[in-house]
Parts: sequence; structure tokens; C-alpha cells
Amino acid sequence: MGVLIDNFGAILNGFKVTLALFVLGAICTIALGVVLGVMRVVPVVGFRAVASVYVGIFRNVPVVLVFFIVTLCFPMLGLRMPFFAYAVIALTLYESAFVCEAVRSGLNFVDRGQSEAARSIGMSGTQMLTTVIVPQALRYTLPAIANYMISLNKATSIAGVFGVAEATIQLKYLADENPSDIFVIFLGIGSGYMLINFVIAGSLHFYERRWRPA
Amino acid sequence: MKRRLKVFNILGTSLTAVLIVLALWQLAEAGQFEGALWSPFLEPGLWRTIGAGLAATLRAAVWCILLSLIVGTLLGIARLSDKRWIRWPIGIWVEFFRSVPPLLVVFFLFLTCSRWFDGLGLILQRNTWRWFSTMVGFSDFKTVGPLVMAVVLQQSAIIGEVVRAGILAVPKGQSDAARALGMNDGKLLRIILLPQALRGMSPTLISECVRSLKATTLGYIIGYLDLLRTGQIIASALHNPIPASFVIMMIYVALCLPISQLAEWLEQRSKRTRPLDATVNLPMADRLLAVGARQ
Repeated sequence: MGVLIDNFGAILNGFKVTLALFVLGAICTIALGVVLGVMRVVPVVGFRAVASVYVGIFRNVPVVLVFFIVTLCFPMLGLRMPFFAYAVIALTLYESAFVCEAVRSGLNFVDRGQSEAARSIGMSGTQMLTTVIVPQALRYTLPAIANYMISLNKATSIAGVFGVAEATIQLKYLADENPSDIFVIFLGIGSGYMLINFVIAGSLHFYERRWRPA
Repeated sequence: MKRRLKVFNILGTSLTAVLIVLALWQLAEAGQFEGALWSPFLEPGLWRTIGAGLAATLRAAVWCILLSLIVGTLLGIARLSDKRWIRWPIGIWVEFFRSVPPLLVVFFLFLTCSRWFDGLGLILQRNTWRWFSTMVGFSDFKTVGPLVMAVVLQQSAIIGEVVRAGILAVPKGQSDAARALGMNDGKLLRIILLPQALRGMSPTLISECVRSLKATTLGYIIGYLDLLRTGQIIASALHNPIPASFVIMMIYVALCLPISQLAEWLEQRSKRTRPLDATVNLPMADRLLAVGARQ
């Protein structure tokens, strides 16, 4: 237990970075995921093709490979950024493909009467999507999105290997100094992740009940 | 209205085409399409190296998938036990390993157990046939052992939850009927509950297999010579990270996409057999088109 108290500062700093990665990643992921999800159902062939190729690739590629590509290939194209930004980009690219599929199935789940009603009061296609269909679809997909947010939180750990000092990499640093206490450090950091996931699941569950689809 | 949709379609499609052409132009400007960067991928020697990496990835993946399915099923059944001293510890175990990042477990096991795995691998290598030990990969046990164990700890916890939900979803009448016929617990599970649960779970289980396969890339971090590590070695030796990562990415997509597609197909099929309101299943694109056409 002593190790955890002595190194509380280091672990806490790690979790601050993890949380920052998670929050930024979650905002970007949901935004890109919703845009891609809408692109997949809109009657424009080009948009649908691009979105489905994107989903086909990024859902079937390991997240470590996405990190590898972003950190290695972006500098080659003259896109130099801090490692933190690379990590957020990689997490967004990977996880938004999953959110996109969830949003798509939610969009198809919204009752047909809703789109007919929106049309009959004279809404345009864009108006109908942004004010009637997407908000309802998001409610349907909330449980799936909660799962992907938890998976996003776990994926932030990969950033530790690509130059971001987040919580998982602290295990490696602390274990070098206190090799005998590694089990306690492991349990401590693991419980931190458990707590974050618990908060994510709990808050989304709260909104799920509040916004229960009619 | 239909004409307007057509105009939108053409405009949007040409916009995306222009964007793609611009992106490719950018790549060409950076000199990424030069033959020298891509020509090494025409040599069979390089493909032999990639093949070895692919074999290592598949070896780890097969271990991970098999073990996580077996352990996961056992965990799922154990969480449904009516004995509290089994149910609760297993519940804590599953919740912990489900929500911890797999990389944390990989680091932990690599730092603590890799020496034991190395020793075990050496013993097994000496005492089995050579073809068997190369096929299973006993010589890499130092890295593949912690990797497989970490992936199995995580995936079996996730699969355990899937199995538990699948068993709970079987209608209660089924187990009542089995009890009335005088079946014991084991028979009830084996003959009645698991086969019926499996039908509902199979899409999820198959996509979890894809997840296991993808998770083997964590071995890259602890120095297991898998497909991704091979790609990294190629990229740094030939100074061509973009072509190398493109090739590696395409291999991963070629491995995982068919399995994901199978899972999706199974899910669609199971949805179709359930009676649902036909309009609900109509894709949004068709709906937008249909509404547009009517106006």
C-alpha cells in the first residue's frame, strides 16, 4: 500500500493525462462518428462509399496499428504535432468507425412516421436529419455508445507507448523503481481505470433513463 | 424533388471525388508514389519475412481465441452459479479484467512472469517434437506467453458476460421443462441452455474473435515479432513507412473484414427471422428517397 501513497502524485498525473485523452477523444469520436453515420444513410453515392470504406478499414485494423500509422506517417507528410495530438487523432480515427455503425443502426431504427411527419410540416432533408432523426437515433444508440466510450478509455493506454505519459505507462516507470511492489501498483492503476469506466457507464445510464425513447 | 435529390447526389459524389484526388495529389507531391518506395514489395524475400510475421500473429491469435472462448464460457457459467462463494469472487474478477486496459495487464505479466514463461517454453521446446514446437511457438514463450495470457484475461471476462447474458436470454420454460424431465444441472446446461444460447450469441462471439486477433498487436509493444513488428522493421530498414504501413494495414483488413462480415450477416439473419415491423427495417436512404419521390 505504501508504494501507492508515496507515488500517488505520479499516478494521479498519469490519470489526468488519461482523462484529457479520453475527454478530447470522446468529443472528436462522437462528432466524427455521427457525421460518418449520417453519411452512410444519406442518398449520395459518394458519401456512402467513402463512409463505408472508412468503416470497413478502421473497424478491422488494430488500434496499435492506427497509432503506428499516425505517429510514423504524419511527419512524412509534413504534419508535425505533439504526441498528445497524434494520440487523440489515432483514437478518434479508430473509435469513430464503431460509433458510426452504432449511429447508423440507430438512424434506421427511428420510426418511419417521424420522417413523414417532419416532411409533412415542410422540413428540408437537412432540417429533418438534424432536428428530428439524429437526436432520436442517438437515444437509441446510447447503450452502444457507452460501450465504445469504455473501449476508448481502455485504448488511451496505447498512447503511453507512443510518447504520452498517461496512467498505464506509469506502471512501467514505477515498477522499475519498486520491482517488489508491482502487484500493488497494478491493482492501484487498474482500479483507477475501473473507477473511470464506472463513472462513464453510470452517467450514460443516467441519461439513458432520462431520455428514454418514447 | 426527385431531381433535386439527383443533383445533390451528383454534387456530393463529385465533391468527394475531388477531395480524394486532392489527397492523392498531396501524397504524390510528397513523393510517396515513387517506384523505389514500393518496388521492394515485389520481391519474394520480403514477402517471406512478412509471411513469418503473419504466422506469428495467427499463432498468437489462435491461442487467444481458443483459450478465451473456453475460459469465457466457464466464467459465464460460474457467474450464474447459485452458490454465493463462487458467484461473487468470479463477479469481481470479471468486472476487474473487463474494465482494465489490456496493455496494463500485458505490462504487468511481462514484467513479472516473462522469466517463468521463458523457462517453461525452453522445457517444452526440449521435450516435444521440433515441428510441434515451431508450430506452437515455444521459442517465443517469453513474449507470447504474457501476451496471450493478458488477452485471454480480458477477452474471457468480456465473453463471460456475453455467455451469461446469452444463457439468461433463453426462455425460462426451457429449463423448467428440462427439470420436469429430471435433468441434472450439467445436462441442463449442455443439452438445453448452451446450444440455444449459442444461437443468439454467435454474432457477438465472432466479433469478439476479431477483437482477440486485433489485440495480439499488443505483442508489438513487448517485442513479439508479429506482423506489426515486422512492418515496423521493414519501414525502418527501407525508410518507407507509408507503403509499409499501407501493406500491413491491408493484410489486417483482409484477415478481419471477412470475419466481421460473417458476424454482421449472422446478425442480420437472426433479425430477419424475428417478426418486426417492416417499415422499421427500411434503410434510411430508401426512406429519404421514398419520401422525396412522393412530394
